Amino acid sequence: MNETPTRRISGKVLLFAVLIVGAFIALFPFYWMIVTSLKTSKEVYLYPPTWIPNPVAWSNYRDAFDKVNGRVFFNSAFFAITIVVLQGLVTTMGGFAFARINFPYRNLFFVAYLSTLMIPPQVTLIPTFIVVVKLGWVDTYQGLIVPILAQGAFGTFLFRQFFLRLPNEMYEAARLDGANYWQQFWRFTIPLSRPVITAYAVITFLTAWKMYLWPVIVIRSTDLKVLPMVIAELSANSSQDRGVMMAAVALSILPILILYIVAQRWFVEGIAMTGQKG
Amino acid sequence: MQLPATESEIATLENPRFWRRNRYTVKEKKDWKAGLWALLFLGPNLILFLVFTAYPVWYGLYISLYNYSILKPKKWVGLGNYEKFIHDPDTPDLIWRSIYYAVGTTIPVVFLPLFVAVLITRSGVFTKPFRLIYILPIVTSPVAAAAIWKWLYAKDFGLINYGLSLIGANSVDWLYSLRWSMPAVIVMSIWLLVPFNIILYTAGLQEVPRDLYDAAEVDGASSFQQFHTVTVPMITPTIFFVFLITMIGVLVGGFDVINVLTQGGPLQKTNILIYDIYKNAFENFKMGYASAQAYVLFLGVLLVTLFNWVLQKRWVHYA
Repeated sequence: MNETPTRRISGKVLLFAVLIVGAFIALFPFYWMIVTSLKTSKEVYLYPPTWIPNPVAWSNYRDAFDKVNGRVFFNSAFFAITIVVLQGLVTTMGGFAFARINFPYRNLFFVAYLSTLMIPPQVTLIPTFIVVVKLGWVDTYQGLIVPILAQGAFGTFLFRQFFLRLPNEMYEAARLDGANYWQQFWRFTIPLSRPVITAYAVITFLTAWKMYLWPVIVIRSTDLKVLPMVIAELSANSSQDRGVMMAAVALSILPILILYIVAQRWFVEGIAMTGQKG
Repeated sequence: MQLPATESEIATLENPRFWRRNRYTVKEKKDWKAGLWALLFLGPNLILFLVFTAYPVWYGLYISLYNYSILKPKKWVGLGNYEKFIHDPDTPDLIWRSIYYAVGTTIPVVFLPLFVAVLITRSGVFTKPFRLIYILPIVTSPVAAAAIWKWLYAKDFGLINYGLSLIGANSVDWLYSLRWSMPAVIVMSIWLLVPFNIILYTAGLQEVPRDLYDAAEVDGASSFQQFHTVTVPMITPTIFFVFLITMIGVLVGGFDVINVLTQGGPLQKTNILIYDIYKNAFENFKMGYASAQAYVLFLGVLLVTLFNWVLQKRWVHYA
């Protein structure tokens, strides 16, 4: 042992000092968002800035809800939930086929499908938009949702890996009982995969909730806008009151924050499992 | 985020047995009835793939050979768009800025979270609360985070300039400064991306056998020596994985942040290739030209990935 107790203790102190500074950096923008969101339009522009709002302008949240209203929340929630459900269905079915149905040239198809993950989104972005134009889907929910469903190669891969690890004996027993593939899929493959499905669903929801580039390209009318579009517009409008703007940002984060507190484990597992940025 | 290759995927594709197994499967008797079932299960996937992946990949290449906007009839130009891009006097700066953004973001976003994850793991009972705090930024969308940071970066009322004034430094107009706008965009991107990699490293660190540290302790290795001789060598696959997905993510990402913070300005100083592609396609309606740019980006990402794939054999050790 070449470390003396004093060195150990000073090492611990240093460790915590560094961690607290880091935590401060991680948290500070949130603190400033909340503080700003509760300042009156006068106090927002006070210099030097105040650290605690006085008086507390709760009305900012009421004004913000005029901008990010129920319709915008509905659009974001509808977009994210539809993606989670439909993409979940498409990817689990695809994963099952690649894992459990021994069809001709299976691995060839699988490797070809997987190789599409190498394509940067910018390559397909423009032609996908042209396809959506040709389908007459610009500025519609289906134009917003269906092209995103096609980004399921990674989910398919993830579920294939998981289904491969389920015990073979189970599938043999089911075959002997005369269960077809559809029954094998619904009766025990899906129920046994609940953890991986939950983790994938949380991350897919997060990804869709945060998505900005595709919605901004395909959506025009106010009625169909999702949260990030409205936030970006408020932020770009310099005459917009900053307090109300921050309240709108806080409102847009709130549902995910609640989800994070309730289901932190699934956030962590989902990201660790998929490497997806959410 | 496209192209996330998990470690197990990397391991699978690296493994020669996987390829041999493929050959045997193909040689098996072909079960066409299973093929029909597969078609049922893969049908939705297949249709989506053909319409929104396969066709666009081909069609993007096709229109990159045309003067194409959605408004006018297209006109054949052959490789003209590619030539125009290569000979455009602004292109070298554009490429340089894209590399600046990619490298400037990737390096901190690969290494900072490694140290943080190790420190958090070492903090004992405080591991959980610290982790909760450190990964909190994952709840914000890039757009929401950029809206907050834009306010922190503001020239007259921004908190960062206030902080500078306290230590007697001059205020900077961060997002409108020719010199500081790109670093400002990079710092914000780092804040946004570090938490994800903390999660990935924390998961990787849990795989390191505890007794290796005990053995190092008995040998009298200091914390730093343990990090250097035990932790890093044991998690090279995680480091490579994090590096690869971060680099590709940064090369093809950043649109949301730039669109909210700077819109590519001032004077193009934060205009990187992916943002230029967006502007050409959807603001200037030069979709053929933008497609050509997108294919150049594709080639660049492919080359960088291949290069790193070859290089990893020298430093990544799979257990």
